[in-house]
Amino acid sequence: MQKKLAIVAFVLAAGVMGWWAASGMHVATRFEIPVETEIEDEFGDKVKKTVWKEGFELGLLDGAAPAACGLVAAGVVLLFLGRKKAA
Amino acid sequence: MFNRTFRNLVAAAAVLGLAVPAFAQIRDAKAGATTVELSDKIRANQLEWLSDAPMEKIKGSAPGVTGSFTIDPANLAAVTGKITVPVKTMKTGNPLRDRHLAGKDWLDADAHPNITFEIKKAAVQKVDGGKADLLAEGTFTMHGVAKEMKIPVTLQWKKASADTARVPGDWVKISTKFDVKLSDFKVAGKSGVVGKKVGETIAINGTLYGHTK
Repeated sequence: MQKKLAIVAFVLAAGVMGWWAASGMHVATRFEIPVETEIEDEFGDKVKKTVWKEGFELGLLDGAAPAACGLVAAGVVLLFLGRKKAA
Repeated sequence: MFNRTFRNLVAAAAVLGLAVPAFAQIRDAKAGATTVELSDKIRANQLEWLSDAPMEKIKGSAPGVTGSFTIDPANLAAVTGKITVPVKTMKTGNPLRDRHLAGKDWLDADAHPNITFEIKKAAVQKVDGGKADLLAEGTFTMHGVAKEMKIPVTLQWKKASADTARVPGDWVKISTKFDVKLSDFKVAGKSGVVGKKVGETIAINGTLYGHTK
């Protein structure tokens, strides 16, 4: 049982790191995403402006790394407990 | 004889070429000093900045930018004014990082709430119709440190018309792009962060809109 739970924890840890990679591999979590838009202004010029949109992009230091480390640690403890029980 | 005349002509052309832009007038703008105030009523004003460090690119903006300047379209070199960015309005998309940015280790907003550029004069580089390229000279103050800087600015003028009726006065647009070196303003950050997670130089660009009063 512990072994199965440990595997789930490792898979979840890998999933968290995968989510972080897919989110753009930011160091810090972003709760607002800068979206660059191009508009034609009243002077007849095309101007690039950044608009902030609500969103969530998982960061490494304040999200993915602590979560993944916690899950890996939990997995190791579960494996250890499983081996101890078996012995 | 011919060579001497030619040399004189070239010298005169060079002198005129240098002198003309300083007195060149922006098309559609009335001569005489006038105050231009930045206004979000035309379009939301904001400066944007980019920190490009090996570990992370951080994009941010400063939507709270305000300012005004006095300008004579017939004597652009005599422009004076002040642009202000309240540090606490700067955002990066992460509230915790925004607080760090305004904190003691970085811009220390409690002690130095504003970043300002006080324009004292400008060097006119080119005037083309309703557009002028200037090199605005003045004092850039950040983190309580003042430094004389020359910032490239493109100024555009739009005469009041039916198109601009929603905001009274002539409309003025200022576009700029320049870099700020953090160490020049004694912004050290947390130990080891500048140069790794935060760029040593911050690229700033902005398009600001204002109107004459």
